[in-house]
Amino acid sequence: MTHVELAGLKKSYDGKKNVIEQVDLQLQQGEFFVLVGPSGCGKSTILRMIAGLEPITDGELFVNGKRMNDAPPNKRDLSMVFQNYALYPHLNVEQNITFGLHTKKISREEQKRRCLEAADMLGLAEYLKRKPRELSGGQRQRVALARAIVTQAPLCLMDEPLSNLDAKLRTRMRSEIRQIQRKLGITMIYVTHDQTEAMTMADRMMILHEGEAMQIGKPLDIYNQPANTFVASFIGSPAMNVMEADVSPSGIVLSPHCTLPNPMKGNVKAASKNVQIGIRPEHILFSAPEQADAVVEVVNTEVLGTETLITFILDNAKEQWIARWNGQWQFSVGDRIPIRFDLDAIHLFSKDNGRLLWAANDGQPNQTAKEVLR
Amino acid sequence: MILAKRISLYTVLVICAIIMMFPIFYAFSISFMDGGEVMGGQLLPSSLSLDNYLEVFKKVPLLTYLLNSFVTSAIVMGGQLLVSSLAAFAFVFIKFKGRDFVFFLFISTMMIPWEATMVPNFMTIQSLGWTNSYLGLTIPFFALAFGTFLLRQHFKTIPQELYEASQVAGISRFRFFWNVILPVSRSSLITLGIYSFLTNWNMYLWPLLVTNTESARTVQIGLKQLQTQEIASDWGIVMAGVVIVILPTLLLLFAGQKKLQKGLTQGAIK
Repeated sequence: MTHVELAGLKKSYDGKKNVIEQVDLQLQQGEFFVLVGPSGCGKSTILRMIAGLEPITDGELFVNGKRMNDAPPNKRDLSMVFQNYALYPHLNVEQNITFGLHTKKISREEQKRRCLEAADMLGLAEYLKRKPRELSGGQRQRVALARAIVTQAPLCLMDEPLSNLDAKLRTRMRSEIRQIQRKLGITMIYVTHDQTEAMTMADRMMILHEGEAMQIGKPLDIYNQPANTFVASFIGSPAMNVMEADVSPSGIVLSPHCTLPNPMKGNVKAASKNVQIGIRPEHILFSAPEQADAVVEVVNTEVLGTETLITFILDNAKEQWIARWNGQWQFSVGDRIPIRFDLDAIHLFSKDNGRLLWAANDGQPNQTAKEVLR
Repeated sequence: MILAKRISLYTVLVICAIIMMFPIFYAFSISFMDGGEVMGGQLLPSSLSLDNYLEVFKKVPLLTYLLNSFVTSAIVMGGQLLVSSLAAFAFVFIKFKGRDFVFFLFISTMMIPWEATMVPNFMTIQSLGWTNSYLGLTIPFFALAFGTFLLRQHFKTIPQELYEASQVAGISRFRFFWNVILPVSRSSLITLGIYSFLTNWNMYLWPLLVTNTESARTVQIGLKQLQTQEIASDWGIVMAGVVIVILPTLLLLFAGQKKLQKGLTQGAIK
């Protein structure tokens, strides 16, 4: 069942330039939807328009099929978690959690019951009498979450709720939020600039760039079939290698010393002369010298323990590639190593508009699985 | 070196303190002297007699004056806090066209000296028939540009998200103002409260204009009466009155000093 629908949503502050261009979106009941993009791309603006904190310039917003463009925030039946948590500093945790429940005509006993339940769920039970300033960042975050939970609103909006936490806590809260969302069955719209958060949490996500929706889909589909170079380099860490190349029916020329066979096998239409080739770091492989596509110069290595990131150049010193290999590899700067490109994982993008022209895989995650078995 | 620096610093501070405190100390001292001792130029009274204090209550209805001053100051304080905080709230949390312009217009009234508006104010009060009443003594001071400015600066440090969160929760604007903004801004409110109480307590010209009966006058006029009732002022009695009148001021200052400093410099940085 469609829960939230955005139809041609637009936002402009000065009446001339749109900061949000035509966003169309349908969210299913119980879906975890992530809006992701670099800062300033308009993701928070969309969220605030859904919340009713920002007027909608054009287009329509439906919640449960009802047009909600002009409804005040409290009539939209949603809860919201803010980036800085927005806890009331003079109230204790319990008062913070139940603040505003009285407007929904909920009895005191019921308020208390819900508060205890939410506090239990989030491990806040022993802090109920403390003031926000006596809590750690993670605990404050939980209070903000609890405040959203007790309203029992079917829709929850979160605006970068984890960005003020340290990396370890962030990972833990990520899974906690996901579990709570599943358990309560609420629809979630989650804004973040962190692609890892988006990849790990989302049922579906939307990538935004300068107010325009770049791609909407399941995380793995987007990872495997990015719609354009922006998505390709935004999703995945380290980013996909996107480099210029010449394509002809006989092959893809990366540099004077490196020509790959054309994997498109007669798909001449896509084989325009000037394209960009995209390949993820994990699809650049170490190779036996006789099978190598190229011998490259190492510029930097980062050994992360379970894997190693190798930065290298082909011929053009300005174009740095990154490869990701399992295990621990020790190279010195300047070492020349043989590599091979996995032709089943190559993407070709148009050089003019960055759109995806052709992708070797069909969007199935079997590519990654194959990698592991190799 | 450090010791020498410290000694010289403290010497300067002590000298300044003596210069500042001497008039108050002398007034306090005179309040225990009889006429002869005052004229003799003594610094300290020969005995701690409370005669002057008893006398001052007989000469003028000081208790009535104290009560009047206290009531008007309290009313003005309450009024200014309410009006200033509501105005500041509107300037910070409610979006409307020309908000900044209106605010600067508001602030610019600080440049008009109070004396310049005294005559029109007096005529208004007179035609309303509010002379010799608390209304006339208090209402003209309710709107205070300085107070609005002070509170606005503090309100601006309150994250906008608090307002948005309460909008999402469905809390009315006034309830948000009352239950969140006011408690969060307590220190600024106390600062402003003390400031307006003291300003009103020390007011002389306006009470003199709008009151002409003993039952409505305030302490500052009472002090003036003590000086001019007779040809030669009995300074001992006058000073006894002064000491009684400055007591509340001092108490308030001592009690609120920390808050006052904190509040007045708050929002200065940022």
